[in-house]
Amino acid sequence: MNAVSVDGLSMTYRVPVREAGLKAAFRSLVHRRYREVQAVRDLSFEIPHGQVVGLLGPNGAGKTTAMKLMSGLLHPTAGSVDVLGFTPWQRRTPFLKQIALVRGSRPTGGAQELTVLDSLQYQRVLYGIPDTDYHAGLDELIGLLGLGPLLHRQLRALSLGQKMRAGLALSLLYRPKVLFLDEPTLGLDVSAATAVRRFLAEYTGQSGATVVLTSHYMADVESLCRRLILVDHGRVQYDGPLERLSAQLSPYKLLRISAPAATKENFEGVAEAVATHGVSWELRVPRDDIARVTAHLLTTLDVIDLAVEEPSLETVLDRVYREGL
Amino acid sequence: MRTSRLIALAVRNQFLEWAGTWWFTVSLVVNYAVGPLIGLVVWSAVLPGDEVIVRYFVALTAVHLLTASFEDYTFAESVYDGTVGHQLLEPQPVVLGPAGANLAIRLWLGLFGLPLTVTVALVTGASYRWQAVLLALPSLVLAALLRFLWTWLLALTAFWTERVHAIVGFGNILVFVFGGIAAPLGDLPGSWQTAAALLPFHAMLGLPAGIAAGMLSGSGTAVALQAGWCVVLTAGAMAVWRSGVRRYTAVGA
Amino acid sequence: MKLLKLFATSFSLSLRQALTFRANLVFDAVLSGVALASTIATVLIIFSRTGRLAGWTQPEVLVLIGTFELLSGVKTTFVDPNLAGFPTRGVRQGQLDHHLLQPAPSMFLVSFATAAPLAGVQILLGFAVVLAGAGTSAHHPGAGAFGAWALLVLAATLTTWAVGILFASLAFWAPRLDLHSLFGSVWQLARYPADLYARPLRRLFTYVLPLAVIASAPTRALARPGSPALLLGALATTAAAVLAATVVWRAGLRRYTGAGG
Repeated sequence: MNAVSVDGLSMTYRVPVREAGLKAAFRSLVHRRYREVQAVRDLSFEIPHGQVVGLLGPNGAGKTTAMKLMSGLLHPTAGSVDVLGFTPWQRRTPFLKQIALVRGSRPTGGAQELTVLDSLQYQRVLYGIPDTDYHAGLDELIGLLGLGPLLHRQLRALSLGQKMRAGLALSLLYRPKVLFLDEPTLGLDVSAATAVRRFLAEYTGQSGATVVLTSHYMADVESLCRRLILVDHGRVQYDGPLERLSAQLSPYKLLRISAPAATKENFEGVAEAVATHGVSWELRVPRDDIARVTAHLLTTLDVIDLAVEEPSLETVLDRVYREGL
Repeated sequence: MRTSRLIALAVRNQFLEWAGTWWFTVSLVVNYAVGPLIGLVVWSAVLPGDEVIVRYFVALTAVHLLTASFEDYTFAESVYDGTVGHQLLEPQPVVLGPAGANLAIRLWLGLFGLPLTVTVALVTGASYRWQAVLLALPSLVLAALLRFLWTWLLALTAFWTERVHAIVGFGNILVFVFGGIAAPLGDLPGSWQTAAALLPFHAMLGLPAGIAAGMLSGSGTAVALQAGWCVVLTAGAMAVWRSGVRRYTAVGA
Repeated sequence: MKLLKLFATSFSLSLRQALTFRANLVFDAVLSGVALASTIATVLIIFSRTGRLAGWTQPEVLVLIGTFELLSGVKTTFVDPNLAGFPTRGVRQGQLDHHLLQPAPSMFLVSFATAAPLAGVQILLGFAVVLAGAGTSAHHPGAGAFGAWALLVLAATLTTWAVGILFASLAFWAPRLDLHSLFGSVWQLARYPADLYARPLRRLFTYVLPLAVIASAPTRALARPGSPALLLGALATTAAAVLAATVVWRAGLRRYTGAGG
């Protein structure tokens, strides 16, 4: 049984074309021209209950649109989505009570002049949370998120990191079964981002909630998701375990060697040296050539240390984003 | 002169910035025209057939638009969001920014509002002697300055309180009652009339409209008083500004 | 029932928040008082020069002013904090998205998420002026007249809210267009008897922008009771305004979520 299934999902926006200049501005008053932008095309995947999935892709890949479609904020131009047996964009009350969308760009919605505790109380009424669940859930979230000192502060007075913690508490108070996290660490400093990551890891482990997460930061994905879906130009480009991503996407491996006597000439025609620090070298070697190159280097050079590594996810993705698959 | 160049630059920038939001300008025009126009309707019903009243309220509409001041938005908000800190570091008096914005907004209000006023004048058949209109111009300039100084003075309270919009609202009530929108100066009850003539509010609004409508005789003293109030409010604004900045730099933002 | 509870919760939270700043409470109360005093002073000045204003006596105009003040209080307390700035806050900054994912009707959430309880002082002051005006009236209005007045005040409240929603809904088609302040300006026209305005304007204020039903209609019901046509007309206008608001809001939302349109 899947928590989320997405089938042939497409979304096309019509955006007005605005040309520069006063004359064009007047012309557009009378006759407005539109351009079609396909944000998501033919997206299909399934997410079983309790899985934590990372949705990755460069800016404008269609991640946020996909999140909006799955949470019910947008109605697609084609295809279907099923979340917990509901069609999201009908926004039925039982559906809305079981999902949450938390966005790093706007962690707390609602009235910003209310205090954190007031907002939590409002959520209790809005989601009809029974008293006992409310108090137990609240205590737990206050502990996990370190909200104690923030409870009586107004939402608008919080820093971005504090807002994110408050936003998570507000959304998790009603224990949603499916959680959509759109860039949850956006703009947070290192320690705030780490705190949010640690909390999310702990929460997802405990609650068994299904989570879809988008992020620009590899650390978010690496620390939380076993499975990755890579979206680019509105399409799924990769769907599988995190570990296999670089193997599949990068035709190269990294070879690090320390060889005091090595000079640039030693590598010519053998491998591409991408960096050097003192006696250690970093070489980019095609996957199939690793054995041959390693043997060659060990015989021709006095090697102190040698290691073969997968390129970092960040490097791989950077190349994929720029050059495509 | 450097100051006038800087003001011209601020006006130009603000004028362009407002060009994108014509609908907001229209909202402001309606907002500023509606008070005097209600006065026109009410007082035409109270004194039917009185041409001077019609002339007065139509002129008042134009004056109200051309003296509009929004320093509680253009300046006070910059105290609240902290951007005034940047402005204090710039090598020019801070007041130039709000003053430029003020003039730019009035330009836009005039651009949209004067056609409206002319239309109302045509519909109601208000006609003016050109000598009277010319005579009203110096007083209009002083009124425009006075209204800016008054709103600026009130907006400076942003250094001390968060309720600046309410304070400026209070100031606008005084302008409404004593400035000649609620009733023309001559129709106020005895003691109120004396008070209104001496207070600065009538000089901000009703005085130029009254002169243009040919309502006020011996307006020379009134204009002199108007100039006097300009001096007083300038001095007041400078003093408040200095102590406000002292407080701001002491407390920080 | 749930919505009522939700509304009560959000109002009491806003109220509690507002009461923590006691200086503001005093300040706002004083300001409301001064604003009302200036309006009443204007009425007194007008009636020092005339016996009737467009056929309305001084007590009648006082009731009108009071009713207008009361409704303005309702508008500033409930409608403005939520619907003013809806295009910016709601549509462009995405607060609407937040409401759309909450398990309650979006029109309700957008309209009642917050409140400015301190402005409620104006409601009380307005009511006091209504009582004072009715007390000085030559014929003392009975319970029936007050009932009709209350009913029409309720209808006017709904109309005000509906017009607010209509103005806000424009943002679905033109996100940069924020005409709520225009609503606020035009609203001022309801301060005086609708009979003051020339016939074409009066038509406009009755059928297109229902300002005439806002303060004038309840006042008439109180001052000159026994006109079922007035009562029915005002209620019909309210029903039409609410219906229009609902239809336009839904159409706008369909457009916003990309479901056709």
